[in-house]
Amino acid sequence: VKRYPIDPFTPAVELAAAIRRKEVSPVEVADCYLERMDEFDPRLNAFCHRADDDVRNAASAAAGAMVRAASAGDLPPFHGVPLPIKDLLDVAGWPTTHGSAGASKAPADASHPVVQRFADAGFVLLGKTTTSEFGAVPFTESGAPGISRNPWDPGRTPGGSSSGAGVAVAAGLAPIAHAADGGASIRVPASCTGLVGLKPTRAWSPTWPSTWKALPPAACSPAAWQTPRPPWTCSPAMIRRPGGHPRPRRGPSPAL
Amino acid sequence: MTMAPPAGLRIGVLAESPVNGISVDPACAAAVHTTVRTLESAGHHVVDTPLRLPPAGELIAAFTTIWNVGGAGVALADPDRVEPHNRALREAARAIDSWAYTEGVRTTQQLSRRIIEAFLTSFDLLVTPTMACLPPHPSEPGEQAPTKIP
Repeated sequence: VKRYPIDPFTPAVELAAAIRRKEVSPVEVADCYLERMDEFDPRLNAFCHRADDDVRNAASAAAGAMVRAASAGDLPPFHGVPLPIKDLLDVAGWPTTHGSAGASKAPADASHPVVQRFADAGFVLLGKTTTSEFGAVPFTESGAPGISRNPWDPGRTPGGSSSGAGVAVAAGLAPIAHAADGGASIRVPASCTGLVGLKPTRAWSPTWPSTWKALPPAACSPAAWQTPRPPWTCSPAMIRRPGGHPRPRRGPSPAL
Repeated sequence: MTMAPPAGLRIGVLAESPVNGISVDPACAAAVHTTVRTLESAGHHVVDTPLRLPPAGELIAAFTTIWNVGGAGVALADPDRVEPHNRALREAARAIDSWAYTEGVRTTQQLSRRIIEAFLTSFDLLVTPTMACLPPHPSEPGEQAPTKIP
């Protein structure tokens, strides 16, 4: 059995705490997950875009920021914790395929606001995860990303459309992952892979600028996954009132 | 940041699919019952009232109007390489005028508020199976159709 500097199934919150206590460095953490991706992803297909150099650079920058920080309290909450982005959102410098063979492979100019918030929260962006085309069906088996497989049983689907996000966390290729849900695309893969899938209340996270999931009734709420520990512990990274959001959050009253 | 666990929550249960013709796998139904028993043993109580839902056909028809525009806004280098099911959605979307689309948005908002109102009136928590089936098997390359997923 290969020895890693961390348990790759450590929940993101505990990993963040271990990094903050300097028990493990962001570089060691990133290398651990990249190594596991090398080993397991050829079979499972969670990732559709890898950018290992960018990942290592971001992890090194996070390590450098720890040296410079006067105290751990100055660091953002998920400092140095890796998190992959579902391939429906732009990450500056990486292509966005939306799971489609018809998409442009050109790198995105700028990151989606949700991606920027994850980065601001300290996450190291760990590549992009597979989705069915446009996130339209609850499995990923198409020609562009190929077949994503369930780590519990590679003969079964991990569900979708956030297929790669579920696979990555369930297989210990990431401690937590971004995902998106307009019609169960977080909930189905969470169910298929035995994870907690958090779909925040609509409009608690920015859907703009986005594609169809910005449409009012089917709005997507970018969210995250983690191993079965309290999902709300990741909320501060994602759930706050966005600037520039077209629909301000309202109270929980049914009389909206 | 620790909070006392909530006590005495009203638990609603929706163990069957509101959509006709979709049965719930016994394993998924069993997971619901296990969860409900766990909640009961933690001091919460099951409310014996079903969640009031609008006719599924009405909701699906309105929602589909919106769902069909799924690929809109995605810049494509080669639209001919879009998968057949998404091409069909795009064609269906283009056959709907803005009046009908707006009706779909309005109806979906109205129906969803009715569901939320019924939920908030009766329950604090609703337990449902996430999936109605076990994770299906992927189709292998060369097969005609993906594994059927309800």
